Amino acid sequence: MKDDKPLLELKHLDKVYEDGYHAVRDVSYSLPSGLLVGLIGPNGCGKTTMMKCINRMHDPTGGDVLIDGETVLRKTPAEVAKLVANVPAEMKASFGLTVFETVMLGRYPYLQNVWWETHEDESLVEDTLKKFGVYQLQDRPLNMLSSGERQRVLIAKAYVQNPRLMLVDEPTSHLDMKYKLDVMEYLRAMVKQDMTVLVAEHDISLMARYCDLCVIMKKGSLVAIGDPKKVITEALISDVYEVNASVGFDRDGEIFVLPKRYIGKTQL
Amino acid sequence: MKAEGRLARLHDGPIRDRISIKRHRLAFSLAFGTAAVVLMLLTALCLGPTKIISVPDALGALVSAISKHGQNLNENELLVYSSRLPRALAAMAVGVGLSVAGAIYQAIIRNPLVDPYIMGVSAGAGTAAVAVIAFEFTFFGLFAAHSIYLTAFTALVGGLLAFACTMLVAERAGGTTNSYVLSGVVIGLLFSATQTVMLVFAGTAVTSALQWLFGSFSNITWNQVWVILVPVLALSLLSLRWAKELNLVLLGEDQARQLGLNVRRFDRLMLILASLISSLCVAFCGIIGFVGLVVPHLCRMTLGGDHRLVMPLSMLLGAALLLAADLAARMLLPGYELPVGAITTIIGVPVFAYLLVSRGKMYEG
Repeated sequence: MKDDKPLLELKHLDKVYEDGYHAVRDVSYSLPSGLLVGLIGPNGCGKTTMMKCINRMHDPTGGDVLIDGETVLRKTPAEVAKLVANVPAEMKASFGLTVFETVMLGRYPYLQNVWWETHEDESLVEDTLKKFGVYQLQDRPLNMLSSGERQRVLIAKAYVQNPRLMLVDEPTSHLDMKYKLDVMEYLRAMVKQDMTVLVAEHDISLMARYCDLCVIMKKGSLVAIGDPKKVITEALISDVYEVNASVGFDRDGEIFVLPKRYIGKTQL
Repeated sequence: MKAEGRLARLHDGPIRDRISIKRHRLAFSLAFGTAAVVLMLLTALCLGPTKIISVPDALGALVSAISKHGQNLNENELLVYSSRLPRALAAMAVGVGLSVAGAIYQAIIRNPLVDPYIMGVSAGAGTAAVAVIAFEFTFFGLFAAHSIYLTAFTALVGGLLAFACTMLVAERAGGTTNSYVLSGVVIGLLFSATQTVMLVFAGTAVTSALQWLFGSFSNITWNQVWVILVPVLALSLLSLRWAKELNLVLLGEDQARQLGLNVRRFDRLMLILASLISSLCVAFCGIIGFVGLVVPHLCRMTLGGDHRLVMPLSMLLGAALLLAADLAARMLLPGYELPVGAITTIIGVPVFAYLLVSRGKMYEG
């Protein structure tokens, strides 16, 4: 927003797995800072693999990933952890780790060589727990929370990691519509900081409503990138998903997508 | 500082200071644990099947024996300094080692049912020990036959060999935590089967082989104490350095990795460390079950999952528990030495069952 240098830049990113599966094919785009970006595409289109290449969980087989103009491929895992945080779709913590302890582990990249966290870390974690509405749950074991509560804790954990880029993988897949909106509101609120949030999600209507930008992928390749209200069309949905869908606008001018019929080859 | 500046404080109310609470808990549990160890150590010096010595007498005998450098000792000094103290120190070291190894394995494998022998160490050590005890193998005259060093050395090698096999299979199978557990179980079974076959052919030597397998501190002298105490305590204290990383791996491999930990390397390092510790423990004292499984859980159930609290308390509690168990092994049936491993199990099971029933909910999910 304020500076025009891209926060994240992918240059001809390519990933072929050891078994020969070509998951990401020559993907290039760049994202500025301060946006909520939706990553849309059918199952198996390479969304997760692309995200894993960005935070070095996987090494790409070709191309480059730059954050603030520097390649992540030559950074150590600890350095990458200060730039990119990842919110998994679902996570359990063993041995009754509490909400507070779980979120505090998000500070690990900054505390590798000290035994105790500092008071600054503690007040940062407390503020974050309040911000995400889970302060009253802080002494509960993570595994005892409901899916919606747990998702907010995981976002809080990624938030205290203080990244430039947050990768969120299907945050609402286990949630009802109230919690879906709830999670999106929290993600939206975070973007006001100088941080970009990249969300992979299947609910296109939800993405279109909350995201500043949409990245659309199909079979490992980038199909389109741009303002969701312009990019998401009936033609695009039928191309990417092989589904006939109505794309319309509701009374408030929000886009919605209503899938109607599968038009591809039936796989049954 | 950039981190904190970016976040507006929502509340300026009083902050409950969790770091201080944890520090106090650690200090309290260290004090409690140390007191328990000292108490058990004193009891171990005073009590014995042959003679009960009062605390001042025992301490007096200990001081005078040390001032005489262990030479020309009278009856009490002999009992306290040459027999009871080395035995107690060995029990302490093994208690520390097994508990730490158990805590490490449980965290790395993220499974509460894991004990220090999960990687096949006990089966490997047992098989090797039975081989030398039953068939008087002396490494071509390198050791005297029936020497405790021979058994210990072979057991150490056997334990590490089984661990190496487990690692080899597990790494080939993808190096996931599940593959470690499965290959550990399989390799353990292989060594156990070999051991059973050898026991069948052992003839009269089977009694001494079984005695070793059940675990005992009865043959420990000063010379062996150092060989156990120094490396086990050093490695156990070293492992404290990674207490925070052990918390991190509880979040799962992916999350630990994205928070900046090289998980594969860390897992391997910790498994090697824990297996080295448990092999050293097994080598001189045989297979002592249950301590490594139950002590870390006792600590978790009382202090929560944070390894910065769990690891130090496990060390002290493990030491105290094994001192108590060894005392029971000596005292319960006068004239007999009960296997200490059986004692630890008999004491441990009801305590563990009680905790599981009352506090087990925290492990759900």
